[in-house]
Amino acid sequence: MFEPTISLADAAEVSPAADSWSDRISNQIRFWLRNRLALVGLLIIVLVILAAVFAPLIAPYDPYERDVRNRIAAPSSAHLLGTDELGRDILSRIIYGARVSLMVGGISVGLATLIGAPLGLIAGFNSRRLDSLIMRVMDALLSFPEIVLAIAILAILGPSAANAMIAIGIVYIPIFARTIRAPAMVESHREYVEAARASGATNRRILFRHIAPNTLSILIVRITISLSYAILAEAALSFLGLSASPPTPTWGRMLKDGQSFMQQAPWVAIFPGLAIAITVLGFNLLGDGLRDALDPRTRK
Amino acid sequence: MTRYIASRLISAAGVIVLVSILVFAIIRLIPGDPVSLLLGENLTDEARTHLIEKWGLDQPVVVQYLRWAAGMISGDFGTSLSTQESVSSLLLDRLPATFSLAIFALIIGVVIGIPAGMIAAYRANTMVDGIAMVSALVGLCIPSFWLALMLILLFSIKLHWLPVSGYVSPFTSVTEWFTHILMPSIALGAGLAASISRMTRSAMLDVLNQDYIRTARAKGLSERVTLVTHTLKNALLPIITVIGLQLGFLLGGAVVVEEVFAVPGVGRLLIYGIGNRDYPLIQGVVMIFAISFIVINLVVDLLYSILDPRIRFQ
Repeated sequence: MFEPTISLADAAEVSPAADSWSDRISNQIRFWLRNRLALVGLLIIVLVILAAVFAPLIAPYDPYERDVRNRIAAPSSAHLLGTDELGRDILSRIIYGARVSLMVGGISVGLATLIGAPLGLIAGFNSRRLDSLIMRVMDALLSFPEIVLAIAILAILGPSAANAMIAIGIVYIPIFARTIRAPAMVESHREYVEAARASGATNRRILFRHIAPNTLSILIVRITISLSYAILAEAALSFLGLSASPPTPTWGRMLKDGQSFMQQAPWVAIFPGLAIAITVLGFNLLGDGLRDALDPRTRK
Repeated sequence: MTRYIASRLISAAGVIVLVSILVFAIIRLIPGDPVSLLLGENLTDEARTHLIEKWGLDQPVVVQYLRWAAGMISGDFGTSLSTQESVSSLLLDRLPATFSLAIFALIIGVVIGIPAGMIAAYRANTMVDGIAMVSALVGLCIPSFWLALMLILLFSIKLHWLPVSGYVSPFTSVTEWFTHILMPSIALGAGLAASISRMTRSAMLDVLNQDYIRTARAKGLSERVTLVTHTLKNALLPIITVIGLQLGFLLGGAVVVEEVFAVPGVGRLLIYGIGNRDYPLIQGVVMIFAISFIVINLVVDLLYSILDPRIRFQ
């Protein structure tokens, strides 16, 4: 939909955009070296994605396989992170759980981006009446605490992983609309928009070909940070039993199951929580790094 | 000032109307017969006809909405399908626990977050700053329900200092209330403290670089006065913005934390409503959460205008 005209490295650079591929690659390397925390965040995210994609190859056991003789076994060389109340290997379930977390987080944020960003663009570009209409509806959606709105939507749709994606996606639509509206409003008054209009470009073309690419850096930061919140939201919904149904391994559900065994087997709850925290940390570090790099006020 | 307050009140009322339409639509969007969803399915035909007429469920949707909204304004949120009690009385019973949890969590967030942010800004780019900001980042990444479980593990299971779960009203015993509410509030307030400390540091750093701070120091004011009176006061606006925004998240987070600690609050009522497909109850709880959120935002907006008079003249 968007036609990017700037890369992250270009945006982070004060010097003019590079022309050759080698310059572009060296700019990217410089960008990531200069933003080491963002690099750490990126590495964490890449590791989690790789674990999710190659789960059948990496996981030492079948995440559904029960071993009644090994129920709530402590971490050992056989089961690095121990087993749960049904004797299932916790490490394998955490690795498979990454699939649900990343899928729900990714698809819900994708949904919010695809609907919220165009709404924000249209609101920022168009007449006051349309802007007012869109933003009042967005304000109404923003008037609910996030998790409460997601639960209300799940009350309509019914609890499942697919519906959790839709619910979290709807919750984030107004956030994306608001994020994109302000830069779209600023860009729509720039001279290049006047020039495009004078050359006969339609509103649609101006909006999606000229204004949208110039809001891309803000959008990328928002997507990265929202992914961390979406993963937390999915974990919370799983914890409440409103996302994927058992026996599908989800980090939130594993935590909930572990609550009953806190005294005998604290590891059942400890490790899934760490998995959530580390993944969220990765997205936060990347988001913070990108924001600092792309924000002209903090750009060095 | 009166004009500003009036305009903000009208705007908040408009948002409440929009929100109420969305909440009213919940039942109409669920596949199936909304009358059965509202009245339950275990009714005789006679009782069903009687209730449909009594509640006006045979009227056009607009009339139904107006009746529902009018009932809400007079404090009537309908009847719970699962308990057959008035939703308003269920809400009134549960609200004190949720509000005391949210307020205590807010106090923890502010008491930890603002001093941590101030110290981090004052000692910017030192080890103290680094420790404070890494702690804040970790605080943001840890799910409240996981922190809750870790607190239970440490303070209840290992040390036996605090009760694992439950809630006692402060009117019954203040000590018992405190011991029961402390862990849930820490679990809920930790993320808030993290957000507040990050925003306080950033806002304080902006102000600390201003000329008037140099002047305050040059004229011999103590560091304490310079920091608290001159710096913090001028950095408060963005800090209050974050607190206002996070209060909504506190209310949302309370849903999960109440579930962990079995606190009989509104959040737990919502989960009960979902589990029992009790739609009038779900509507009532969601509406209460939304109204609370809107009122908090209104108060924050009005606080802005007191802190920064320029806002009310814009």
